[in-house]
Amino acid sequence: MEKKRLNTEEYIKLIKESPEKKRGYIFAGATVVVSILLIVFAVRPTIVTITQINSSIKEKTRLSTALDAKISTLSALDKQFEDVGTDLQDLKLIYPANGNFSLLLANINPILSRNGFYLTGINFDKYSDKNVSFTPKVLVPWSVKIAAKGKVSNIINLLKELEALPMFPVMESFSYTDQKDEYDLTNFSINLRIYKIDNANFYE
Amino acid sequence: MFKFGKQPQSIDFLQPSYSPTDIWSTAYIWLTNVGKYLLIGVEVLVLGVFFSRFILDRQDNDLKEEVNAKVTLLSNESWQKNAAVYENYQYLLSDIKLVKDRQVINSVKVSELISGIPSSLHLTSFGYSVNRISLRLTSNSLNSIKDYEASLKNNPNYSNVAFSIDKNKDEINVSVTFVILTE
Repeated sequence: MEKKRLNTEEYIKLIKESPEKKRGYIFAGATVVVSILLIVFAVRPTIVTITQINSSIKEKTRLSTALDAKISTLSALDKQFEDVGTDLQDLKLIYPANGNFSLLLANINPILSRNGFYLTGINFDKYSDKNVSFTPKVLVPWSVKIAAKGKVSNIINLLKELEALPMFPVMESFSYTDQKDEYDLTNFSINLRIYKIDNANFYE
Repeated sequence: MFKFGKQPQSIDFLQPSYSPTDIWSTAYIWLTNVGKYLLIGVEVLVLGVFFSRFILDRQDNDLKEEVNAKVTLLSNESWQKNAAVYENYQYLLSDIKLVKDRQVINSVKVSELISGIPSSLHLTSFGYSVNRISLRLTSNSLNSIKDYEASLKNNPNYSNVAFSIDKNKDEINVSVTFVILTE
């Protein structure tokens, strides 16, 4: 029997379409698929988790920095408060949180006396007008009505001294008539806008 | 399983010296030649990702502990109380600045107004209420009253100037109302 001889073209075809090569392709494909499966089911979820952890780290770093800033600010404020604490304590008297206007009362009498007036009545009340064009955060306007007797010639000085008080009062209304009593004194009515704090524990 | 012992002896150069015929052997050959690099690459990637996650997890936990420690420190009653007091003072000081800057000194307005009344007019009553002025004056001279009326009406700082004149015997009673214009 004569052995069949292959020509060059058939050899090339044989090389190209050899069963080893086909198997090689199949295993290459299988390896790629396995790799892809590994990437999709093992690497991808881990990367997703890493992204989440990363954003969590960023958020915690931001929070930690903010907390650091708060701690250092509070420490600095502690130090400042030690230095100016006594001065700040005076604010309790100027802007009382419990409605105790003792400093104002203690100031009004000397001012009236200094200007030749004497107090005939004083009344603290809620501020019902709407003349405040700004909105303070903690200070609440309050009204104090002062009735006093004195000389007309001294009234401007009295008003100026009242408005120069440390609580920055504003004269909202003021009136008098020229009717005089037996001591030649005139009745004056002065309405001041002052401020207080509506929180009894504000300074504590 | 792998038929390593039965390798065919051939001098046909078109055939590899060893050419496995069953699927397991081919898979083994493939994996030990080309596929292993691919798989090793993927495994290295997987391990890299795993270890980076491990490191990041540790970093995250450290930060969490750090934040918790700071929160615990700030949650301390004394710190909380101090923080509230300082915050209150901060608000108060900003309010004081606001109140100081916006304070209107009305005594100056009243002073200017009273000093602006001519000496020929006698002020019998004065009323000021949030920029609204009401005056009662008496005089013997109508000209003085007219001059005063003209001066008030020509003053650009005043508006709604209203005069009401009433003559009683020799005395003229004048009632004046107007509004002080604010800036």
